[in-house]
Amino acid sequence: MTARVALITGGARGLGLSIAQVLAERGYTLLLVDRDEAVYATATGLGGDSGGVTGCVADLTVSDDVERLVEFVRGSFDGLDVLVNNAGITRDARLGKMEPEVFSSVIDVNLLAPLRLTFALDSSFRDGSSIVNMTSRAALGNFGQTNYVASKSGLIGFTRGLALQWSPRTRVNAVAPGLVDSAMSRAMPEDVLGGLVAKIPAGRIGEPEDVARAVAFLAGDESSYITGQVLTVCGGRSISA
Amino acid sequence: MSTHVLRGSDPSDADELGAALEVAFRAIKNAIANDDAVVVVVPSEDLLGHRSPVGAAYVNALIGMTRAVAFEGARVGWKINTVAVPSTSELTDRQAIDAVAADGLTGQVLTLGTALVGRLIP
Repeated sequence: MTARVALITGGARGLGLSIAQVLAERGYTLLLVDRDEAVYATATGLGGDSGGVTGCVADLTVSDDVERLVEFVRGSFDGLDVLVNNAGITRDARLGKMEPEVFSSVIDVNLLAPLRLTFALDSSFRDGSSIVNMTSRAALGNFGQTNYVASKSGLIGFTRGLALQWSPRTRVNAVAPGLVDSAMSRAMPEDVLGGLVAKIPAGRIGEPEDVARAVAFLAGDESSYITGQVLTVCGGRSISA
Repeated sequence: MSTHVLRGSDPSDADELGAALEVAFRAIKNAIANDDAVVVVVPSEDLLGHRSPVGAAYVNALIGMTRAVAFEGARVGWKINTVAVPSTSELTDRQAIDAVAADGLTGQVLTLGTALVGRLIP
């Protein structure tokens, strides 16, 4: 049986790396894409000499890079089974201090780049394929993140619209993580982080693996009757007081 | 407090989507800076993606802005809501303003019409 092929954007480190690790454990052939050349070392570290993990450097806000990536996919694989639109950035500021170009820079990376890549890969998706868009619990609203919230909420809309348009060939879902252990969370003052964790009904910060397993679920056949949905992985924070 | 009514456009691709969102962001930022309330009027078909993925991305990004701005301004009384109406509706600005006039109502999406009754709450 041929291994299923998954493309993960922002795959060099952090959440993307955790998603890659979980999918690799489940036998996927992986293509990791990142702006950072560290993606090559990540791919080598994950796949060893098996050839099952390939790294690719691309800036998905640059159309030439998207075209080159799509050609690489077409030339390297018979088709694509899973796309995880994971790459994202934050550039926080209060509304009054957020310049339009700062707003749009986050929209470009977090919303427009996934749209362009997904549409560009249209003909590569196999029957039964699955797209998982990484959005955020913050799509419900967050302080100083008008750009980020708009981008992640927009990605949820895109998820639903595409799910309707591409059914039944391709399922399209989203994962919305809450607070997850990361370089960013570890940089927070201890009291600030503690205050945030205290609001999480699960009583702990999320681990990257918590999110990665949700992605793997939506990527795989166990979720074959699920499309157009958002799976919020936040320890219950989105419903707490 | 006066009210600024923002009626969205109808982007058909990623380039138009990015431009339309920046226009909306500028309008909302300016309105809030002027201490205006904001009502964003959107087609209800795009809440769940019934017309197109790009349209759904646009409308839900506007909803995201609504929620984020309301969240940030909750303590100082910023008022911003989204009213979703069928694209065939001829809702006037006055009707849109009145629909979300209640004190304390901010950061919400009000859907007019029955087409989405029984569907997911966006």
